[in-house]
Amino acid sequence: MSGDPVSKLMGVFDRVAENAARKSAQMIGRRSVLSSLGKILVGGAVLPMLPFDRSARAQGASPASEKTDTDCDYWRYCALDGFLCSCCGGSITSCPPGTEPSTVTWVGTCQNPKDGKDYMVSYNDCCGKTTCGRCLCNSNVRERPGYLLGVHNDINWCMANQPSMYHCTVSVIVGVAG
Amino acid sequence: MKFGAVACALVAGGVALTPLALCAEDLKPEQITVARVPARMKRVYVMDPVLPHMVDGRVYVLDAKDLTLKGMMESGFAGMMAAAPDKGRVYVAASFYARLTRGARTDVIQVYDDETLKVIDEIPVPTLRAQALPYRNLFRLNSDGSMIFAQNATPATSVTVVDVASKKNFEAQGPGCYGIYPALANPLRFATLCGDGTATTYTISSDHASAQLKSSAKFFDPQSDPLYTHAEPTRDGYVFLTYSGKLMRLAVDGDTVAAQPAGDAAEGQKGWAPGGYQPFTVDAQAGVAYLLMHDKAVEGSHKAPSVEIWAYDLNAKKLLARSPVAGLIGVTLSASEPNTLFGIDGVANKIVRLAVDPQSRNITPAGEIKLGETAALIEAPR
Repeated sequence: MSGDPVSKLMGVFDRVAENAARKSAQMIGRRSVLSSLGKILVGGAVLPMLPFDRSARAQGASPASEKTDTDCDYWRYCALDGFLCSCCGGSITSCPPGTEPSTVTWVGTCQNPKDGKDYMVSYNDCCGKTTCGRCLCNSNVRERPGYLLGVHNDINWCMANQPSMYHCTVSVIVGVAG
Repeated sequence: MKFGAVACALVAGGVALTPLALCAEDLKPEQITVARVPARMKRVYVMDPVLPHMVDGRVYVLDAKDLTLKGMMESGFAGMMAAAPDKGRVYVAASFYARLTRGARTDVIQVYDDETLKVIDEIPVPTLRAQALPYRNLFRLNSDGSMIFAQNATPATSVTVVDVASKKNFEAQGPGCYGIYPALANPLRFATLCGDGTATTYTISSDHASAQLKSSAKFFDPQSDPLYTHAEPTRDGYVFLTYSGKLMRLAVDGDTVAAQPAGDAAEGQKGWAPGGYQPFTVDAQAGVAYLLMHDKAVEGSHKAPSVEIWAYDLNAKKLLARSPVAGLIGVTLSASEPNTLFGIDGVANKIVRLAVDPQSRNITPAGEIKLGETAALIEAPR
């Protein structure tokens, strides 16, 4: 259990909650996340251009077959709301120099069009520098309001870091759904 | 007079750009003044967290009459606002860091004078505050303005309850719950929405130092058709909206929340759903909701900008009108003019004024201003 990346991720989430003696809150969020993971097919949905999304789609997206990790509609970003670290000196899985990965995060479920599988993607924010300001994306598949905080993206996931300044967001595959 | 003499000397010295009138004996030098927002001006507040440089959030102050910009208030990092027009105050919560983007974090509620737009007081609060987009229901005044309720997320959720006069506060635990809905007639009570599909009612002790909690029965499905956390007050509670377009009335003044269906705006309108960050507003007097709607709705499009605004009769549960107003992610009704709406066009970065025909409920443009970078909340409290 402890070796599983999702368990590790959720373990961090729970530890923060336990430290504040409010574990029950996070268990609600955790159960909700886990119950929804693996059930939903999200590939193929054509999302409208959203406000706060003024990079790839706003500037003219690449054809579907050529999506790269700096395009907002790259498959891993199906529920990413923030600046792509790929455009900010980091990469799809690395934070830019001088920043630190968030200690808490939320997990989306996105389908890789190449193999048709659904993957659990951890959207860690990178923290400690001013906002990057490049490649702002806003996708919300399976995103839910803050009463399901574990699947909410209109909040700073650097909230538990010191300092909690938000810089950009990475998309790390942590498992296969279903 | 000295300045006049210098100007004349410059002309005489060969800089022949200044009309002779400048040297006239009757020239009165201009005085620098500092503008003030007129006390009686109807205001529109636009909160912009400026996502590309988030330490520098602001609240724009516009004249509701013509949307001219009259000034602004700073809202630091991840600010929230709540206006108290009866007191001439705007409360703006913000996080600040000692070295702008690093160093010790301080959270305060800044008390702005709504005419000078100066900070006239500060109320320190714990650094637990949810650093979120400025949804209205994350930062609210109670019914008599004596207390402020601030949503926390660390990520454990709770509410900081602040007594405005004494500046004292306490943390009311709120596991798994989010969004604050003050009781309309009981200053010591508010409700929150919870992730198990219930609501929790908080009743604050008379010494403002603790709260008792009581959960409702389950009344919504947070996974399959969640309630937006944005809600609109009416005479006896709040109207809520689900991702699919169903409306619900919640009475929050009792010791537990009571829910009642209030119609389905998208019934029979296949493919249409609400969208945005402030996706609807309600004219409580007329019983009409105005909803930001988009077509081709899919899972994940719940923040999509509007294609149309729909007027929906909450009492007759009937769609009244559909108006082509595109690009809006937030809408609010003027508190003083029931046939005027204000909206955030999140695609074109504009603030718009809209006129409602009181008979047909059709909506037409009535002014705009290009403003902001990522405005996320609009309020017209008087």
